[in-house]
Amino acid sequence: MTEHDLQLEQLLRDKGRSNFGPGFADRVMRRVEEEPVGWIDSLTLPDFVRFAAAALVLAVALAVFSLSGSSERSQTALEAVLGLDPVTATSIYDAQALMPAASESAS
Amino acid sequence: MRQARDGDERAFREIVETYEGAVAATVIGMLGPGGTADDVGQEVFVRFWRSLGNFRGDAALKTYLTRIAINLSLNELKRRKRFLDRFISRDREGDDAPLIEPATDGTATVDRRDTRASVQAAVRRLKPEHRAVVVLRMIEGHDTNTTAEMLDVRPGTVMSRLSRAMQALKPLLADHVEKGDD
Repeated sequence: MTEHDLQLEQLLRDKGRSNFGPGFADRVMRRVEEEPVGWIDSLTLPDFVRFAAAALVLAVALAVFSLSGSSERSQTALEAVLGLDPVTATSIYDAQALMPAASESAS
Repeated sequence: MRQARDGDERAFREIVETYEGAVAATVIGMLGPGGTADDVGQEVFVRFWRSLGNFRGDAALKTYLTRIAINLSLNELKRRKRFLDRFISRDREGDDAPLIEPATDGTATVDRRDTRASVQAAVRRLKPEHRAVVVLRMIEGHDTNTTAEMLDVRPGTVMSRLSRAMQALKPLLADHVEKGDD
């Protein structure tokens, strides 16, 4: 590297930089204030973790509640957790449940 | 940083004031001074504001902001080129295109006695990919690996582009180097 190269590098370092005009930070902050903030945009990761934890606790509580009465309703555990009615031969062939409109017009 | 992430605008303003110089050096180095550079500079910080929740702090903030700045500047240069291409016939496209671009932004009329303006005008006459390397490596002072990472190229590419750019700048700035003026 020659002396000329070093001088050129120094020149670029010393004279290459520029600045924005005065009040740049004010202009940025005006734009930041104009940014739309929806509730979902304002959620941070810790907020989301708290929300997810609460949702999980609620889901587990609902599942336990559903399971607690499953034996009286002849439901399997899975049906109880998912909140499904027990599947029986009667429920399968129940014409009113299959075609409510048709059964109404027949009556 | 944590306060800004929690939505504290005063803390965010401090970040803007701290790093506006680094963003300005990149954006103005790439685009030249003026309203467009100011708009792009603002956009850099607005995008950072939007992505604060995702910024994990693994990268240095200056590097992160400079990466946004260089990408937005290159996008703006592409937009300008598309605009110019509509009106100017370019017969010199391709690999054999000259390294130095014709001055299209009034830089040919820069007062040669004004060293700062001359240096900036000379840098802006480089092709965008060479200009980006000079701005990041020589003016901003990032190392070769960081520059390569920001531009998504290999370090060897940074070095070869820098070498070619410096060769191209020599005649453009010969008067100022020989004079050793301020």
